[in-house]
Amino acid sequence: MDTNEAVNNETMPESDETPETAEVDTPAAPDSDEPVIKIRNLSKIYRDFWGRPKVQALNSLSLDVQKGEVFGLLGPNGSGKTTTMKLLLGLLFPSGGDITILGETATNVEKNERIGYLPEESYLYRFLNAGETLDFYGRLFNMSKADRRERVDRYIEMVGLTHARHRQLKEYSKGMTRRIGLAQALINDPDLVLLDEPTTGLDPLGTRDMKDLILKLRDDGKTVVMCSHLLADVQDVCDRIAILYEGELKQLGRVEDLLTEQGRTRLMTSRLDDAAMAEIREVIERHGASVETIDHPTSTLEELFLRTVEESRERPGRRFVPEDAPASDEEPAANESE
Amino acid sequence: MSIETQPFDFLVATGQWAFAVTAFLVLLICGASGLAMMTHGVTGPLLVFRWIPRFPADLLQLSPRRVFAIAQLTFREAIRRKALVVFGMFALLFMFGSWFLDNPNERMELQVKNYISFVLTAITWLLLPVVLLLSCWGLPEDIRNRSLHTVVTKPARKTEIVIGRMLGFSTLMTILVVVMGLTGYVWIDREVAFNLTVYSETIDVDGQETLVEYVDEDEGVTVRVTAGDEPTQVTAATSRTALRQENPDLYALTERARIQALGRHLVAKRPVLGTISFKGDDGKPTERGVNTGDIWEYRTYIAGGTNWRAIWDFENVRSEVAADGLVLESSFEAFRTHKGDDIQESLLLQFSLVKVRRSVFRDANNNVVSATAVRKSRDDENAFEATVDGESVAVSRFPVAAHDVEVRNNSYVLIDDPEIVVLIEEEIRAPLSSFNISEFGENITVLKPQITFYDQESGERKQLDLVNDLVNDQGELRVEVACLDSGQYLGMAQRDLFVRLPSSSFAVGYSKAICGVWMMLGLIVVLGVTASCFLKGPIASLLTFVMLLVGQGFMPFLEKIVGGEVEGGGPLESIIRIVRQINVTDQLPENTFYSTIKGIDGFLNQGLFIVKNIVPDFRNFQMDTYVANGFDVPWSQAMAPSIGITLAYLVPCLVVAYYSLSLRELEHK
Ligand SMILES: Nc1ncnc2c1ncn2[C@@H]1O[C@H](COP(=O)(O)OP(=O)(O)OP(=O)(O)O)[C@@H](O)[C@H]1O
Ligand SMILES: [Mg+2]
Repeated sequence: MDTNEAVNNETMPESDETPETAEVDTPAAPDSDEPVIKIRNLSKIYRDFWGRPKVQALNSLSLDVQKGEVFGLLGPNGSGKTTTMKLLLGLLFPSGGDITILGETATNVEKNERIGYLPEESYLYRFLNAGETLDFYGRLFNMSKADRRERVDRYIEMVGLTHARHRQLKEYSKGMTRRIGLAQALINDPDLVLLDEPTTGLDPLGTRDMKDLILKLRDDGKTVVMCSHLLADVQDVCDRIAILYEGELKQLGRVEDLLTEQGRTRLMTSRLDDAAMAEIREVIERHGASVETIDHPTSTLEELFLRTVEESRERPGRRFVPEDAPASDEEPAANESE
Repeated sequence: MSIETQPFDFLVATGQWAFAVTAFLVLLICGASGLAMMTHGVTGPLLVFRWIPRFPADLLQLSPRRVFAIAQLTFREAIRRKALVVFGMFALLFMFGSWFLDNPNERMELQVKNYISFVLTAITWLLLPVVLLLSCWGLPEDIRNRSLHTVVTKPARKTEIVIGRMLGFSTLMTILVVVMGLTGYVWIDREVAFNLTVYSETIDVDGQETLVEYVDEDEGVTVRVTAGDEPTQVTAATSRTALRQENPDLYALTERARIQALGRHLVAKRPVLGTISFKGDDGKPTERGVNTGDIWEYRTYIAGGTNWRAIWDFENVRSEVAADGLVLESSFEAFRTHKGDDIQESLLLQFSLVKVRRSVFRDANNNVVSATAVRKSRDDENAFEATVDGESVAVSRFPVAAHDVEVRNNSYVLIDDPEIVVLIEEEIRAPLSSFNISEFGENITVLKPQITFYDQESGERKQLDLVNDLVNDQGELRVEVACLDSGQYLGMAQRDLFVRLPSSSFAVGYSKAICGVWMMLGLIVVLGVTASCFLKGPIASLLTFVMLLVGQGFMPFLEKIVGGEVEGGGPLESIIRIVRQINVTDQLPENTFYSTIKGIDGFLNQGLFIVKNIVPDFRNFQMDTYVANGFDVPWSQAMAPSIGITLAYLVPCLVVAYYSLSLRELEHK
């Protein structure tokens, strides 16, 4: 009877696993436009032992991630990015709303065959060494011994840990742990990679490698969802981004679209002398426009981010609702009918 | 003939198990549905039913590779968490153990018993906390530091995680048990050999029976050799080594005797127990003998010099085992009514072998007729008739087995139907020659294949064949025990007289006891891992430990409470009795208050009933008493139930573990 006690504290995941017979490979089929991740009205309330609500970590989040894109989740600390990822992976159960990931429900085990996940901190087994770690995860994917040996070598080489291969993870520095965490996430050559702050703790070279890797993954047709606080990195690699604030979606769109302000033009040249500058101002005025600033370019995603957070703070309650996500949920109904 | 009294019926056990598990699952489903109804409204139960097929599905898709990966991880984790430190403690215990245990003044049997008990207890109690803590903390730790997140986001199934964990801990535990068991064996062997300084054995030297008496004291070694009728030769040496150098032949002789003596002390006797009943002074059967005052006494007594008899019925005495004769071993306890000079004298005892025939009678409709109503037919010598409802009907005789019969109200009746009296006819009686017993030592009576005895009726010596003449058609043999010294009472219990089969080696019995420890620890692993699926480490350890305590120590008490055998009512009632100082035998006043109390107690009793039936009966795993007392471990009474219990808990535990892991967020709170 003690089991019920445990069940009592948690929300029972309502979603149903799709039976094996039902379309297992449709989501990956390139011809379909089916998004890799579909989130509808997702809410998460953390509760304490007695079931009393503690924190509303996510509030009615709806978004899609398409196949082959690099999607960035942004937001200040505690805005619900990690929560979203854990919900996607079935580590947490939603308090409301629906998730479809690779065409399956979040709690489905088989979908994990095609997913790679790098947790926020590398939660690995500290008593294993790098080789044992990767070998262990390889076995969880039911890989043969030969296959594992080859992959373990390849990924350890890729993350640059060949020299520390036989040392236990508890001796690793933060960045080294991060690297082995990344190798662990990629060992199954996943179609969908979820990276929770992949660049924290990495040295500049590592950060650069990480960015290159993400771009390479995209070139290989993989889908990447990442969250990060390093906006410059996000701007460099992400196709689309979402900005969360206190569990609510505040911005969603293509990075260029979000950053391009249609009413303004910014001019950038190599260094000019004062005479040339005056001449240019003259030309602009002749065309009826005025010069507002001419300055050195800043990291503009940072501006967007700060502006969004600022606005959200000033005017709470405004939420971004993507046009293709209707507030009413016909999707879950379709899901239920199987 | 085997050492089993009642064979363990795996089929029946499996049936009971299936019933219990089904009941448990139904309860679980009902509970879950109720809860789901509260949290999810009317669709809740539907959700529960959608979850039901997932466990078998998960189990069917189990991948051995993943299970082994997790098992190996678990094993490595335990090793690198220094679980093997327990070996160090074990070694320490044994280095100093002999200081406290060696007691040269103690009788050798008791010393041997101490060594064996010490080793088995040490292994059990050293490994128990290690295994319990490891298995209870493994998963919660994994959840706490979130390393489980990287596992469950791989295609690892929940059952694979649970089974892998169980397997990993069990492997580690097995290695520990095997190594400690072997060490323990060597240690016992060495200690006994070391302490065996006095022995006298009869050995065979070139076909001649030779008695070798050996004494090793501080002053030196003395050896007395008596070969056949020749005079005893006494040899003395300053030490054992000296003897070896001075007289190698004699040394070899003592060495042979020593090994034989060792084999006598370290042995796994295989007793065949019979059923015991008594015959009173009036010659009528009775369940118990004379009571000498102590109502809790394990033994009851027969009075010497009277018609009182203790009776053992042995079954399965077939020619395979008895063709070369049988060995009866007995040890009785005397209770003397008068004390005096003769206290040193031993008691005179007589065994009689009796061939009996047990029959019931059936009428034409195959109804069983009680033997009290049956008489021999007047017309036909071999036919029987009985009076049923005033009418005389013909009945025929059917044999019954000894284990279907018990004594009640001074007659033998069927156990299944005590209304039916069984006819017991004595066909042949062979009184053996009387002998003196020593009060504590064991008496060995060898029954040769041919029994020679003095027949009182004819006044002649007679010879009978043990198997063909004295064992009845069902392979049963009755042994009657009489005490010939009047004024003495002789205490008897079922285990005091048994047929001894050729002994197993001590190693066999010891390995079985180690096996018992192993299975118990295995069950602890299963329970611990299961508990850790829904509880945090400390609580899971506590729960498992409480289960162990209840299942080991409180089981008899629980059985009594649930069976309503405890005076003073249930928990609440007894509290009230204590507070108000009402005697346990007093009736409580009849009013609503007390009936409410009784009602609640009844409810609590139901709860205790469930507890009693959920908690495994750990008593089954205790096999050390058998081995320490020099007996083999019987399969049906100890081995089979232990295996059964461990396996029986596996499936329900997996169910609980799977749903606990699946229905909870694997997030540290
Ligand atoms: N296990 C938990 N129990 C209770 N509340 C939690 C738990 N995990 C997260 N939260 C709360 O949920 C909210 C969202 O947390 P989350 O970890 O998703 O933020 P985040 O966007 O990842 O932040 P960061 O940038 O710092 O990683 C926070 O308010 C946090 O306190
Ligand atoms: Mg986070």
